[in-house]
Amino acid sequence: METIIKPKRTQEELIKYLLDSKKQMLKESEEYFKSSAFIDDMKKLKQKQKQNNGL
Amino acid sequence: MAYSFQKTKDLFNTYIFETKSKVFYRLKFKHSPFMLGDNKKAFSESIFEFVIEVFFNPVDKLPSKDDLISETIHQILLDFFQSNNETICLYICDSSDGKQLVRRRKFNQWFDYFEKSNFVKYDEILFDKNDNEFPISLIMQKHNKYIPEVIAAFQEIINENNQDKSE
Repeated sequence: METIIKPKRTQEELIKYLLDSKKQMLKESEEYFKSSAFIDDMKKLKQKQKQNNGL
Repeated sequence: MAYSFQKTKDLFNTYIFETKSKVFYRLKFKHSPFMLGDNKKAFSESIFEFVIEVFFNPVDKLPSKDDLISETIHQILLDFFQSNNETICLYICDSSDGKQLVRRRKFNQWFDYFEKSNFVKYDEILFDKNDNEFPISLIMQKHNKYIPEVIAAFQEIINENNQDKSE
C-alpha cells in the first residue's frame, strides 16, 4: 500500500517534522555504530588517511 | 587541503571524517521529497535533509577552530551532489538547548568558506507558536535550474504561516 504523506503546511509542523527527523536520523545510526560495517568503514578511512599523509 | 572522508554503509547517505584533534564528524543526507509541499514538483525528488554532527570527541570541550573542516565539508557536498546536480539540501539548527544561534554561526563559518565556489545558500528563520527561532538553510549548486521554484515553494510555507498567525 502506498503511503501518502501530507505536505508540511505550517511552520510549526515543518519545525516539528525536521527536528523529529533529525533525532531519528541520529538515533538510527546508533545501530550502525555497533555493526561490523562501521569497523569496515573506519578501516577504509584509516587507509585513506595513510595515503593522504595523515589527513 | 581537506581531511580524508569515507562514505559509509549506514542507512542514509552518510560520510565520516576525523580531524587532527581526533574528533570524528558525520554528515548525513536523508531523502525528503515531500519537504517543500507536495512530492509531485519537478525538484521534489532532489530534496534531502542534511545533518552535521560530532559523533566522537576525545575531550569534554567544543572542538577548536579548524580550517580543514570547511574544505572537507565542501568536498563531501561535491561528492554527494555528483550523483544529482539538482540536489537541494535543507539544514535546520536545533534549538532544544538554546544554542541554535551558536550552531548557525558555526554552520555559516563553514559554509562561507566555500560560498564563493559553486554553491549557494538561502537562509530563513522559522518561528514556533512561542516565537522560538529555528534558523534553516537551503543549499544548492549555483546552476540548479530549480532555484527560483525551490525558493518560491519555501517562501510559500513561510507566508502561509505568517497569514495563519495573523488570523
